[in-house]
Amino acid sequence: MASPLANPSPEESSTKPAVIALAGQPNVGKSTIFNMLTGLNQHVGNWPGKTVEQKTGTCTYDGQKFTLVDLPGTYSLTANSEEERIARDYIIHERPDIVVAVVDAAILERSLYLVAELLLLPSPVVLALNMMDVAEQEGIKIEPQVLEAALGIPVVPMSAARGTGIQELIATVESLSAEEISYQPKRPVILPGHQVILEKIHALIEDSVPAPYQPAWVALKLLEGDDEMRALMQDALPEATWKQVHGLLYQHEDAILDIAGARYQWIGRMIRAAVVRPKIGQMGMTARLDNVLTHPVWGTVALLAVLGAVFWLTYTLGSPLQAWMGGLVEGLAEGVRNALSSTPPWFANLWADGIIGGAGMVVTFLPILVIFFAVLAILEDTGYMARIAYLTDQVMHTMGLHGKSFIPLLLGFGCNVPAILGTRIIETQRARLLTVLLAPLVPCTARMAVIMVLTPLFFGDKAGLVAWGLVAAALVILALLGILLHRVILKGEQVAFIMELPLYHLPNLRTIGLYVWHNTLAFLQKAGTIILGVSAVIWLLSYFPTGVATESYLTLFGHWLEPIGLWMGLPWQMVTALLTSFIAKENTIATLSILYGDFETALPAALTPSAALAFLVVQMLFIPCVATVATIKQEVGNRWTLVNLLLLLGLSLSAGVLVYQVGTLLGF
Amino acid sequence: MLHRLLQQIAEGAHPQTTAALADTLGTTPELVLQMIEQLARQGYLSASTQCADGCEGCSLKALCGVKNSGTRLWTVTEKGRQVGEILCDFPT
Repeated sequence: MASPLANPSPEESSTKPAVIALAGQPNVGKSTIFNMLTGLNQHVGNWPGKTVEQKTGTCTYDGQKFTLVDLPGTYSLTANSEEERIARDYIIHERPDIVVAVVDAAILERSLYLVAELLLLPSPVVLALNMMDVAEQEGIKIEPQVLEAALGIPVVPMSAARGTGIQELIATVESLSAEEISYQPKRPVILPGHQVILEKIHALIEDSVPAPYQPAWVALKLLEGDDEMRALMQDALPEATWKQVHGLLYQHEDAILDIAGARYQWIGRMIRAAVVRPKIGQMGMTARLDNVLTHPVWGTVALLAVLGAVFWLTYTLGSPLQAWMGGLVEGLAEGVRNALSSTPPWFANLWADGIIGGAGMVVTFLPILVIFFAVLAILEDTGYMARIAYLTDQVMHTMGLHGKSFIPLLLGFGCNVPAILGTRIIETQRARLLTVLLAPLVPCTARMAVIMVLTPLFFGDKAGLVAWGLVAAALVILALLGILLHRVILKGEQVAFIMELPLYHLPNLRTIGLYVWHNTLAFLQKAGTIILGVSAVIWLLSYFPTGVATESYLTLFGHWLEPIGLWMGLPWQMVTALLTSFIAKENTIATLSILYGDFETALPAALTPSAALAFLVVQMLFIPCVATVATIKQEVGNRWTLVNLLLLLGLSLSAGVLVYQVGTLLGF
Repeated sequence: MLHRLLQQIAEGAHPQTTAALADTLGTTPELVLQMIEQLARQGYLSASTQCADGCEGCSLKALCGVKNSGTRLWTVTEKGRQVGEILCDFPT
């Protein structure tokens, strides 16, 4: 097969100034080189028929005049953008005497793909190895002679910004245009997998390729899926031949992997030959930190320490504030009750107990959430959150999730509502749905508050152990349910993915402030709408028709549920209390207080240890509060909300029955 | 090289960083990143958007998630998975 490189042929080269085209990616110093070479002798206009800027100029070296053309900055020559089309069309149609490929020595890999493509075009190429000073600062050592030998083209090390290497560059261009130095480019070749196909296409199009295109280059571009070349050859080829070519291209759509893959292999070889990277001791801060923070063992230890610090900080700072706000809400409720004393009692109580007591209770959690949001924003903004996602992925993956699910689940310890909203950071619909379904099993602060109040009543000095056991059990059940849902119901897509970890950096105060502000605002909007409304409705159900709690509609419903309670050794009052937790978890305690009076002495006598544990287990796994359910509905729709509620209801009641029955059998 | 990279990603049982993939392929993270972007351009990988689909219309869209940290994620597309599976069956 013929080489795609054409013989350099402009016969007028002896009379006209030699044309040098400057090619390269954006931001590699191409314009600096152009300006240094041309000085004031430049003209700025537009490429014919395009809106892209064209810069041309002249320079003289050693008595010889050169015309310089600054090509648009491009990453490749695949006609993906107007800039790429302009650059390649210019080289193909105008055939400059020399193409100077400007590359950034500090990120040589990035620039060499374009060089690999330039070597396939007719004009000879000189490599301007720019930004050598930056590479040196980064500890990267490049050996230009080795690179020159590996590429087979002249390589000129330089630093245009410092004015070094410019003279050497123009001298090399002059020598190459006068054929005083050898030009034996070592181009990348297509991998064997598609070499035969390339040859077939080449044979089919060879006689029909319009000038000045080279058949070998066009064949390669066709196989790469280049739309412009497809259109060109569809017009140029007889219909039958085009059908043959098209058939081959259709069958070998993945040939691009072999073609581009070969270029990356070629780049890899060049880099291995000529570039020496900094050693471990010279690594940047991110690499050094990641050696510890993404290590399976040390990273996990660091993660546990960070999470411990997050919870410690949140509760140490937030709990006193929450208690203070609780006092404010109670005071406000009493104030409203007094202010409304002239209205009917139900109306005053609705405002004091139902609306302010219900929605206000939720607002008292605000200090904890604000601190939690701020800490999360700092972790996110410093780049550490990405490492958390990376580290936790192993565990999450067994549940069909990935590390990003850990973040919303972590939020669930504060409140399930932001946890559900937090699932928005998960890209795949399936992983997102699964995280939403599992999030209510993370014990939120409200659920934990109920556990913390009730457990000592039943278990005395063993309360701490029982409470931790309940939390651990909830998390184990979460993991098991995740695995089950993943394997049985939601089996499907693979979540293989690659993560580019960001550099660590100092957090930006404004970013953190905005994050906290917007999240807090969203939380308050919810508390002021959904939670407030439902609190009022439930209070009304617990008050009417007679104004006596034990005769209310809610109690009637509790009696109706009594048979379910009996399986767990629970009287109807306990089931009713559980039911009211649907509004807000803390309602459990309020309801028990209404139904039992002095529940702290009544409860231990009313329940056996097995029944008490069963109640706590059900409380831990029961359907979440209405605000969470409303958020789930908003995020995943009616069907999956219903599935989630039935799942949690079945799970919690089954676990309660199991605990009670086994406990009773064991004599507790 | 691109085939091997796609195979590595498709077979991966856990998330992979560009540094780890570079180690496996005997190249540099920078080159791996470049290849990932190429695979994404060709439709074999999909670059994650900053927010999930449900974020459309959300007032927090600009703030939540990975946007601020600069993290980028890529997942294997159906097209990429097909090629990856073929490669897993018939290693090249």
